Amino acid sequence: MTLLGIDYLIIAIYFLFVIGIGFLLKKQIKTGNDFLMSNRSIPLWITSLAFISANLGAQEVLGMAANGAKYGLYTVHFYWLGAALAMIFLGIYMMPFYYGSKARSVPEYLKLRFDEKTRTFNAITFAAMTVFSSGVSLYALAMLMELILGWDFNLSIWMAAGVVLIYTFLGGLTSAVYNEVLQFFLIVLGIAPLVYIGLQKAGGWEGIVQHVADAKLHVWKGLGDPSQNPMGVDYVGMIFGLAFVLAFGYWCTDFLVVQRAMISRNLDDAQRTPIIAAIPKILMPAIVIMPGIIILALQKQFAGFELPVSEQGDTNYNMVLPVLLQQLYPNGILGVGITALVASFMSGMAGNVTAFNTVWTFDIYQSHIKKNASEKHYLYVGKFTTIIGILISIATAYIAKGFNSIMDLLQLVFSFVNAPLFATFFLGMFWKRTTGDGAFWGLVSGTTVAAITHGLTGAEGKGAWIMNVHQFYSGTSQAFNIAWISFVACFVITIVTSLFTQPKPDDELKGLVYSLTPRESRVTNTTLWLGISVLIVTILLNLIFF
Amino acid sequence: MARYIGTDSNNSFKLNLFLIIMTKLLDLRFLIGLFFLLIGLMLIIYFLVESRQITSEKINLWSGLFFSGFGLTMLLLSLISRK
Repeated sequence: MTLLGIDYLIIAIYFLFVIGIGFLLKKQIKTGNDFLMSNRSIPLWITSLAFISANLGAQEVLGMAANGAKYGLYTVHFYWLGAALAMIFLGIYMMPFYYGSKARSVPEYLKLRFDEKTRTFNAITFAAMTVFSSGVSLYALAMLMELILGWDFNLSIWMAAGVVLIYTFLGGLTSAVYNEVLQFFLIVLGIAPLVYIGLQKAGGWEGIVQHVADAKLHVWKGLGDPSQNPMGVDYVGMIFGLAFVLAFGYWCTDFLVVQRAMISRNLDDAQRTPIIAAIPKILMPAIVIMPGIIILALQKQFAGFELPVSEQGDTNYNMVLPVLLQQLYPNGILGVGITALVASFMSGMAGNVTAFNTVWTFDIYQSHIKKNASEKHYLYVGKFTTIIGILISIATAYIAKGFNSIMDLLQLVFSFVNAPLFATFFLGMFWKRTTGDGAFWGLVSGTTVAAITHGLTGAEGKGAWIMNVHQFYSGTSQAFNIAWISFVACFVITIVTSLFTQPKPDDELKGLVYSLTPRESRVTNTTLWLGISVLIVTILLNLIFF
Repeated sequence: MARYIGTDSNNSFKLNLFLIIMTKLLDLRFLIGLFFLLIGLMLIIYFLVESRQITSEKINLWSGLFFSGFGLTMLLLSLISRK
């Protein structure tokens, strides 16, 4: 793939704009609250787009195209079964507690609802996960640029990290959020022409139906038997593992995305943020999954669309988008496509860094190191943490380059921590008897059970490091099943421990628990109907592509 | 006297224009509009100057027109907004 002057000019203009946004917003930042929480003043349309854009990192853009080619339309379950329902649930049921409690972060909500140790456990694991994810995003960007454009690995890392550092350091969360919205439009408008040209070349939807295996063109058909669908998943894994535990766990409790709703101007906007975000979210498969399906049809009809294969014989599905860009885009729009890819990496990185500095400053530094300092002091800590976060990300990117297996292990450990999290929040918000000890030991048990289940089961040559009790059809199926098993473990242990420990008095739980929150401060009719409308559209899409 | 009044009103106009531009630069719709209008125009110009002869590269023209249209819409939304 060769870029010309026009392509480089487009990339340069993009860099100029994102850095410029940081400079423009610099004067608005006076306190720690401005820097880390945008002073809760961001309009609804921006918070909604930032909400899905924070998740629209490289993993989403490259990974979902890869999953589209590997698993076909089953991949849309991440959107139509997982994300959409979870986002509606977050808006209607959970946001009143996050926003209404005046917590500045998700870990801080845990402190208000439970106790300091539960908050600290969540804050430390979350902070570690965000900088780790940011580093992996950086590593993937540099690898991709080296592979497809021949750019120097070090140059890509330092340039991307430098640009993210400049705009997050200058404008804080507002700058990251503004850039996320710009990046959202760039990713959608930069990849949409690719889908259009690809679809035309493949012979339209008829061409896809003719050349792609039928098993990859359905959403629900074949889920009765994991051996009959390309994802190797059954109904239990899909509905309980992905939809209920993993998707709800991510969209409803991960501060990276929830933070975008928490900086809304009022509770009503905060509740509508994830619900409005669900509208473009359910349409995103057309942009991020379709390229994976299109390439399968093109491979059958034309040369040049083959994906690279490793020495071990594994197909590199992550190259779906780069191969399509190379084959279908001429120079000019190619610059926009490459900029969209770069934007997705930077969006993912900036989202992680801004969530990291908020959690570090409020939940670790202010809580354990220096309480009651001035707003100015926390502003400096937030800014300093941004630099540290970027430096750790760069270090992580280099570690990933040298020791890929360590990164895989870390990713696995973090997935164990994440799996049971939703059980803690669910019980905490909807059962006032849940205690801090119950939540803490529930989380610890859920994480342990996730690790043990991984050790006792295998898939695609991974797992079963204790003994092989059960073999799953795919790694995805294993991950989904581990999720719901650890959820159940956390749920049960939290209930049992709570019954034997002292709960907080009702007075301290007002506005934090469903039964102790007045009905009028829960949800308005407009928001409720908005949620129901999105739900109906999601159900219809599932039926159309059944 | 008229000259001074003219200068004052001219300066005041310039100051107002400056303030409007500065306010609009903090409006995300304005920035997004400006970005896509710029990229769209670049694609159109590139198509007209460099790649017009190659039929498969009309995607630059169509994308350029769409980006410009989207950019203009965002700019208009920003300009008609009272804030």
